[in-house]
Amino acid sequence: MPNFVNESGIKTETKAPAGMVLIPTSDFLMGSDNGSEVEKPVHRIHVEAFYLDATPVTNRQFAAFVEATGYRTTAERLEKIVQMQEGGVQLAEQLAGISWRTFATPDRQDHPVIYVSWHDAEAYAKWSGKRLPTEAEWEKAARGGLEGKLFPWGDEAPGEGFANWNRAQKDPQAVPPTTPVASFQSNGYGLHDMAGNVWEWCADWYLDPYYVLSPSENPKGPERGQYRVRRGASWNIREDFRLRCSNRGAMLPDRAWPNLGFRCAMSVTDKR
Amino acid sequence: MDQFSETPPRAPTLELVRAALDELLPAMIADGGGAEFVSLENGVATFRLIGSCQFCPSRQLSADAFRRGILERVPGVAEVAILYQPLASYSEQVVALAGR
Repeated sequence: MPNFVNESGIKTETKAPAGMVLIPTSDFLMGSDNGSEVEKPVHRIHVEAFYLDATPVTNRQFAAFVEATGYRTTAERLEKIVQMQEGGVQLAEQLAGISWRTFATPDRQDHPVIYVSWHDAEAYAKWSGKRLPTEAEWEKAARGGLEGKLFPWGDEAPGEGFANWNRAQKDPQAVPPTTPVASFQSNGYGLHDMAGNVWEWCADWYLDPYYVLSPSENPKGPERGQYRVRRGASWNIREDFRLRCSNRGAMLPDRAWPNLGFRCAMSVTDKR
Repeated sequence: MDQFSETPPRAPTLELVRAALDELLPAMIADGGGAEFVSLENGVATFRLIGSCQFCPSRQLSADAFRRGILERVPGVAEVAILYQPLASYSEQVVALAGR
């Protein structure tokens, strides 16, 4: 079995835990000079090796966590209806009674879990002996070993066969059109759904200009913030710029949406 | 309009604006965002981005895409104005971060 030696000189087996992929130690170019302001500047980042789930966490996996722990998600703990309404326009709602369970039907066990807040994702990750990936880890993984390419598969504009996107529906309470995880081809690291299907929570707090002052080694985000990073875009997005590896997203950590899930990471040195 | 045109250009109507919003809003609503129609005057359609669209890191790109979407769908609209809730400027955030 091949071995991996990290910078601390610790020799570690490279065989990834079940369902995870080894992302090797390397530098990569993070960000984009051709996207939004918050993606600038392109900067070289060193990221130590880590493991990352090959797919987003599924309804089946999340159900096992809930069954084992009795955990109640943020959405399930809502005591009253939270209606987001501004300017007379009814926005998507977080409704009491709608949670990850609502759409975790028997035919959707292999779909990504949705309606999970950042806190729910963090709780699952801890229970499974893992953690959420940092924003830098997530972007490095999404690039699949390619440098300076737009999407996880390269520069080719995404058509229908590349990812689950551009499927917005008019009824916010209809079954969200997620697809079973790994329905689309993996990237160069063997990771599926790094673009589209569901947004994925990352560990970091979000800050627009973080790249300006980000450390160049294993950045972990600002020390504090209001929003948590989410990456990868989802089934509803209309514009393909959001599918780019460098596209950044953010959301209040207690929000649970029909297009927001997560996957977990694990440091190589933490492997059990 | 030139004198040989068979039909005059269509004036933008509120109905067309609403129809365009019907097409564009679902993608925004699924992200907790949205857009509110403000006014249509002299060929200028004005909207306000609301909800999570206001803090979306890609709000400028989103606004550009929304602007294109309206222009493509509503003949006669010459300009689309987008209103945001004011946020701390990029440079203000850099200063705040550096001061921590």
